[in-house]
This record gives sequence, C-alpha cells and structure tokens, in this order.
Amino acid sequence: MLVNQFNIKVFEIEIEDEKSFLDFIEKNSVILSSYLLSLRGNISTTIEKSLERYSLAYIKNMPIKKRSGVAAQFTKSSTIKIIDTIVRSGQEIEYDGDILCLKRVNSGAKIKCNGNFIALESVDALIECNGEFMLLAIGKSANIYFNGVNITENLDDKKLYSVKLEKDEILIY
Amino acid sequence: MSWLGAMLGKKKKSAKVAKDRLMIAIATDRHTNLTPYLEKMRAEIIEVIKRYTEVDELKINKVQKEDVEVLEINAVVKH
Amino acid sequence: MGIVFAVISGKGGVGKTTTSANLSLATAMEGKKTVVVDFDIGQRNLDMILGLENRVVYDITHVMDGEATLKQALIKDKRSENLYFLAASQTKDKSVLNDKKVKNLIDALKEEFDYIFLDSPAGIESGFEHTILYADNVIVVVNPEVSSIRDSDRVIGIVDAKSQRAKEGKEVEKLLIINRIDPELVERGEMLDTKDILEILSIKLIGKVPEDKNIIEASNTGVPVVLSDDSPAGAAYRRIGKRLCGQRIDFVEVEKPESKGLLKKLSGMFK
Repeated sequence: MLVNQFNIKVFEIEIEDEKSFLDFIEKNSVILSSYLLSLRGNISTTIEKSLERYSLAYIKNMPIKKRSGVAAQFTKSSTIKIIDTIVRSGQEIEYDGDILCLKRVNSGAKIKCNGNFIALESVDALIECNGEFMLLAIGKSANIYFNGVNITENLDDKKLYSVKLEKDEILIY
Repeated sequence: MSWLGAMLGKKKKSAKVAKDRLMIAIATDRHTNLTPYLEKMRAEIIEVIKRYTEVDELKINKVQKEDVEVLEINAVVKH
Repeated sequence: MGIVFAVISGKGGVGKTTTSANLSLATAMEGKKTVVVDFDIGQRNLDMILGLENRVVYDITHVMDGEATLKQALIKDKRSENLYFLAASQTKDKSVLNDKKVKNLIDALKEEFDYIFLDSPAGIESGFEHTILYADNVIVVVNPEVSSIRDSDRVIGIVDAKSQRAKEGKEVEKLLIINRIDPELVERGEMLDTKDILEILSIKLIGKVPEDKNIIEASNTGVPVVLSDDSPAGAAYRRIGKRLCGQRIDFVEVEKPESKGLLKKLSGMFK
C-alpha cells in the first residue's frame, strides 16, 4: 500500500450566493490554486465547471475534523503571544502563556513559555516549553526542552513535528 | 629577469611601507600619553604655519638621545 | 539632507573599517559629497587604512567638546574631490560620547554631506550604540562564518530595538555585505553560501566581496583597493558604491573560482 503524507492548506468556504462565489474564484484563482477548497452550501454545476476551468482542488460538503487543541487557541480572547518578527540571537522571551512565532527563531535566542509553543519557520534556538504541545521544525543548533525533558535528539532537523503531552507521556509525531 | 626583481621589489616595499607608517603612528600614539601637551602643541604649530602658508602634513617624532629628548618636527607645506 | 549609514558587524575583524574606507571612496567617486567618520573612540584605525594618519590634527572628540570646529577637524582626501574624513581620538575616555553631542555632530554632518558613513567599533557596547543611534541605514558586514553570522544577527536585533528611528516607530533599513568569500572553500562545501546566510539574517543583500590578498597591501600602503583596477574586492566595493547611489548593478558570482587560464597567468606576470 502506497501512502504519501502531505501538508496542505485548506480554505473553508460557505457558499451563499453563486455569483459572488464565481467572482471570488475568478479574481483569486492564482492564490486558491495552492489550497484545497472545502466547500459547503449549494454547489451548482456552473460552479463545478468554473472550478474545473481554473483547475482548483475541492471537496464538497465534507466537515473537516479539526485537531483539538490547535484551532481552539486561535481566538482573539486567548492569551497567545504572537511574535511576527525574526527572533534574533541574544533576544530572550519569557511568557506565561502560548507563543506563536510567525518567523524564524535564530541560534542564540532563548524562548521560555508556560503554555504551548508553535513556530511556523525554522527554530534554531533554545526553547523551554512547559505547555501541552509544541509544533515546530528545528535547525542544527536547536535545543528543545518540553516540560523539563530535552527532546532535541528525538527531532530531525527540517521536519515539522508536533509534540504532545498526553497523560504523562511525551508523544512526538 | 628584471621583471622578476621588480615584482619582488614591489611586494617587499609594501610591508616596509607598513612598518614605516606604523612606527610613526604608534610613536605618535605613545607620545600623546607621555607628553600630553603634544597634541595641543601640534595644533598650535599648525595654526602658526597656516598664517603664512598651507600645511599638508605635520609629523612630530620624539627621539631619545641619551638623556635628552629631541622633538623632531617635520612639516610639509605648500609654496 | 545627508543620509547616514552606520557600518556595523558585531564581531570584530570582519572588515568594517576596510568596508567603510572603500565604500565612502566609492560613493565619492560616483559624485556624492561623502564623509567617513571613525567612531571607534580610543582605537583609531580608519585613518591608517585611508593613508591619512599624518594629517589628523583634530578628531571627533575635539569637535564634540567644542575645542575645534568641524571644518578644522575634517580632512579632505586628496585622491577624491568628494571625500572627507573625521578621525577618532586616541584617548580611551568613551564618556565623551553622549546622546546630545552625537546628535549635534550628526546633524552638522547631514547639513554638509550627501552620504555619511560611520565606522562603528566592534561589539555591542556604548560606542556601537552611539553609532547606530541616529543612523538612517545600517550596513551589516558579515563573514561567511558561524560566529560572525551569529554576532551580526545579534546586532541586527539591537538595531531594531535601540536606534532612534526604531524608537520613533520608523524602520532602519538594514543592508548586508558578505565579506571575505573564498570561492575555493565554497566550492568544497566548506563555506556557508549566500543563500544560507540570507535565510538566517533575512536582510537585503547589497554586496558580496571576495577574499582578496590585495587588501593586505592596500592597508600596508594606505591605498584602499577600490582605487585599484586589479583587485576583485575593489571591483566589488565599486559595485556596491554604485548600488548605494541608486544604480542597478547585477550581482557577480564571486563564489565561483575564477578559472585562471595559462595565458592570463602569464600576462599577469608582465604587469
């Protein structure tokens, strides 16, 4: 059995009005072509023909099971700290909550958080996370502590990992 | 074979130039600490010369001759 | 109103002073009225690289303390009608650097010059902090080597936090020069390549300067390589100078070793 694992970004769209949806995909076809569209609502044949014309991948009326814990964090009222700049060498960040790094964390930086830690770009630094999970890809100089345990050896560099604390075990995917 | 000599001569020269320049520069640096008036004096000498002509370079070297210190002052001026 | 470029690196010995000397000469050669200032108070060396050490009468400390006017302290380089130089003092009293005095100096220089280059000391102490304080742009000089890159990353972070512009919410443009690229080491996979460096530092690349033995001779004689026709580093600095003046110059692949044909080697010997 051949199994391939991909990471795809998904756009969930609730179709209310056919014309405005057709306009939307016409204007944004270039961007949308790198996403999977999850469509809900009335998907007419006109819409399907249009989607095919722009070679857009889509699934119809299928609810996507969200990983619990991930989506729930991204609400405005949460205590997540979003860092949208590169964290440079020598910078130290300590936060009593969740941290989301949108850019790189360079070697020589130090991040400590008592909540969860997610990084969208390479992490090459010292990270101490005492939360329930982490999502990150590491570089060669990274040094990662999860709830007091150094898990760096268990992570290959450049791969994206999710690290979870379940009961008393550390699970790394 | 003259080009070989010229090439070697040129390379040797740059290190020698560096040595000469360094000796003057370091001597000046050391003097500044040992003879604190040196900088001010140098500036004033330049001012005096400027009244008569333009100064391009002013070098002051301190030479120890037995138990006498000699200040050698060289000024390159425009004529 | 002049534009202020602070030349910084974090790590010492990577080529800040050489870069300051050559870049300022390059922009002067392009017609910009340029001044280059040695901000390494107590450790004067830009004067030697420029070959102007015997012409220093007054230095930056005299100007900031009011003992001399800017006009008296500025040294005009004879090789270029547009280049002026302000030396550092040799006294170690760094307390002479205070925000207000530095600001007054920078303002005065901005009135007179198109381009102002400030040669920063190495490290991250007060000398460096004062150099970047009123800079419009910083030029980060890095070597393709791990400690240089990490130190440069550090100073980039500090620039973002501590410059006056940063405090006012304006961004300081950060420009990268990768210096001392050794094509043979790159080819052998022993030297970090440009792509890796840019990924980590993520700032705009304005130049790549190859390793060049002519640099030693240049500092020995006080004749910066940018004035020489035979120096690959000099040619690189000239290109960067043009880019700083707004010209669109393509990057040269300095990472590739020059294939020296036999004929070229022979012709080189007869120069």
